Amino acid sequence: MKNYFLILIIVISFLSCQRENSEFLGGSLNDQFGELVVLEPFKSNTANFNFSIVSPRFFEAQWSKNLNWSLSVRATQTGATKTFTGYSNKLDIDNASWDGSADDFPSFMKDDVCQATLTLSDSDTIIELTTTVNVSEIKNPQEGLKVVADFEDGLPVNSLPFVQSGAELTVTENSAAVGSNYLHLGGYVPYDYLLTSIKIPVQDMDIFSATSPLLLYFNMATIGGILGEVPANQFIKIIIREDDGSNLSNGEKYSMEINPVNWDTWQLFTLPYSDFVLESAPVNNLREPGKINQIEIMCLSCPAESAPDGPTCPENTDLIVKTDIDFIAFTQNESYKP
Amino acid sequence: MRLIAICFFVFTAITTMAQERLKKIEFYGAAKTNILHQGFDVDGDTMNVSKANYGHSLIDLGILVRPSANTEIATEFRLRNELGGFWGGAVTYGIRKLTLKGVVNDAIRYKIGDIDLEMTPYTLYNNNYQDVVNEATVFQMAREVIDYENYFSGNAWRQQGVQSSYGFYLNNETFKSIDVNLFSTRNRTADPSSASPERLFSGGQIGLNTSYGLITFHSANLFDLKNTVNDMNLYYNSVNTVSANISLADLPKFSLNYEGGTSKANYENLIEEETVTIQDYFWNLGLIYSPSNKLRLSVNGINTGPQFSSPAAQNVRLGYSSSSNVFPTIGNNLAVRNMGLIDYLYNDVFYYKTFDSQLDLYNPAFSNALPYGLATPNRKGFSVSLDELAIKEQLNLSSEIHLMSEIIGTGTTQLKSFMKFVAKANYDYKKWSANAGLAYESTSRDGQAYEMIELSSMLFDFGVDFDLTDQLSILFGTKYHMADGNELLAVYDSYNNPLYFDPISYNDQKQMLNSIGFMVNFSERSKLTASLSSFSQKAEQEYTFNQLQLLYRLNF
Repeated sequence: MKNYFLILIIVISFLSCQRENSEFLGGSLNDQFGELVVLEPFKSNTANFNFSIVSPRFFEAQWSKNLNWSLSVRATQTGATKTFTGYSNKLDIDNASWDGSADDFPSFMKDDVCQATLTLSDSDTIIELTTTVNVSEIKNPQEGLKVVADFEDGLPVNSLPFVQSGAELTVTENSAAVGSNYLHLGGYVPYDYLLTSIKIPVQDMDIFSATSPLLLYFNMATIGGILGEVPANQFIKIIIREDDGSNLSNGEKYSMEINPVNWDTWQLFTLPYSDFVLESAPVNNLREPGKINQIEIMCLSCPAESAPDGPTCPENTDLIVKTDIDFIAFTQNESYKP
Repeated sequence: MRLIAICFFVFTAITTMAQERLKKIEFYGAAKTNILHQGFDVDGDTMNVSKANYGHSLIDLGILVRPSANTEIATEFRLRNELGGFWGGAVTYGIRKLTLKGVVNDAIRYKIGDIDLEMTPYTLYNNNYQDVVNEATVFQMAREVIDYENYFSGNAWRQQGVQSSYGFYLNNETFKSIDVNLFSTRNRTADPSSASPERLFSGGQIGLNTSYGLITFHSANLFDLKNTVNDMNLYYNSVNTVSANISLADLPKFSLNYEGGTSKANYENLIEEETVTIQDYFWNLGLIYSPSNKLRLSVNGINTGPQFSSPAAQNVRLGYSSSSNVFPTIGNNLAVRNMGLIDYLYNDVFYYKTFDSQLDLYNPAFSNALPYGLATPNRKGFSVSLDELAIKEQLNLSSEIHLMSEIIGTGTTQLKSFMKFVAKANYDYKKWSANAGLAYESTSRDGQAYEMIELSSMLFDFGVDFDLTDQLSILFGTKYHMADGNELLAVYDSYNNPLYFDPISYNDQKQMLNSIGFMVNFSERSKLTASLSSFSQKAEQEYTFNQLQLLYRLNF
């Protein structure tokens, strides 16, 4: 009888244990070795994407295995692109919802016709699927956005351009980062670092009075030229002025350089105001977003022949500087979403 | 006359004292000379050398010091010289063993230093070789060299630390006595460059000897010691089991054996402040039928969880991913030569001397059903064992069969099924003795083409010894291994979860090792073996070996 009691204890001891149930251990063999087959066709949930209203806008598809996929949406007119990536066996509202933003400048525009391409690839198969969607309305302005200049109506009112002989500062149409126009800065000035600059007044910054400089972002679209055709060391200097001086013109100045500007597609330059460095004599040495009253953009490059101060760069001889800009704006809490 | 008497007295006293000293210090040792000449042959290979001649001589000098009646210090010094290492050019030396042991108050035994530890196949167990089923004497000679060099003593692990054991009687008819065995060893030294902390292995057994049988609690804990480096990760694994051997009073020919327990592994990431805990359990319940001393049958039900983790018991002796420096490449493209049976037995391949938290790489061609022994995770099924069948004291037979399957599929919901069959026979007749062994395994899984697995493997050992005289024996041995089919070998992540699967296939792979030689027993402690061997491998890489080995061993 005592033996049976012991046996009972043993039986109870292993019956009392339970394991968590999982489907299987490790990565799926189907994902590693299974055949890649499209199960549901690639499509958008609606043909026209209206980003100005709250409604679901996403792409759908399903295939036979989990894999790394890539979805690229490209506007045929503006060249704006939006890319999605992931690891799954389907596209749905959770992983392929689109809010109308682009990866970078240029932004999508109203009535853009976009081709969406889904690329599925495993170790031995690559499948590309395409569909088309139209942008019926662009996304609403980002919350906390303050546009300083978009050059759609020419130079901003009361802006102060400075152009050296041989330099160019012109509002140009076509292929803008946002909208239709952008500001071309460049030219050939072999005798000075500074080619051209523009001082743009900034108004109504009181809305950022309570914003920390850590959370106020300066944003600007920039584009250089094809390397070899432009100086490799061309650059932009940004000076932000505050009105905390004794008069309007002697407030604190904070600056930042984009050096070099060596890319040939529109790119977003974005930085918290707190990263700008003091360049003038200090007044209170505090970055105060609410007191910003001017932004100066300077186009610079190492001169090929002579310089008032500093070295020269003979390798820049006959190379035309190009540091175009567009869409200067401040945003709160996060960078601008093109 | 008085001077003679004084001299006699002094001489007697010195002699007596010398004898006393002799008891306090003893010398022992082992000497070995191993000379190998190997020839390597591959069709059309003009890039690799075809002959190798190497070997070594060594002496292990042991000193046993007994500073008191209850204390003993044992140390072994090694002096090794490679063949051709003239004038000390290739001499290496070091300490092979250092152990202090003793008894406190005639009750508590202790050991400090190098200690051999073994508990159960689920807690602390150095699993057997996978390329052996019942080896011929001519191969056993070489196998003993591997054992000796790698500190393999049965299924024990050689560790460094402290061990203590004691026992006491309970003066009770049902609960008779308790035996306690505790240990703590250093499993890994700290490495600040890789932020690897000091790792200890501690545990023990508490055995309760009852009138029904022995019930024992086992604990094995592998854990990192905090603050020995700038800690980034800490690991802790605990295995606790209970085993019982119970005699059935109503059925005296039957008995039950049982072991069951849990494992819990903690992976603490101090940077991310995250802890991953993995726990599981196992049980093994067996019924033993033993009508006489000549027959013993057992049936066991086995269930070892997929996440059961027991680092000191889930291991493979042979480092299958290692390679030999003898003929390391093959063919005119200098491909790395795949090791074979001859390398495992004679050449410088790697054997694990200790264990770690990661599951070792195993070779499914040699063991796929239970690659990590009984503690292999994710297995359920039963086994039937004929542990011993003696016929006329000349023929001894034993056999076992395991029918297992996975508990949870790996990479799929389909489950693998395993069958492992082992049979051994030893026969003695006058001056002849023979031994043979067969291990056969099959693995299968149904499903889609990419899920399907069909793998079979066989290992056959056979040997014959003939004693020409009391001192001279002729030895013959053969080993044959084949594997055919495919398998998807799991590559594990740091938590021992399968991450992905490497497809491997064996297209009727065969290898055979034959050896003939003689053994001269100069005395009980002195033995010379000379053997000629041939090895051929027919697989993805085909090659042959011829070998002459001279092995002299002397114990003193």
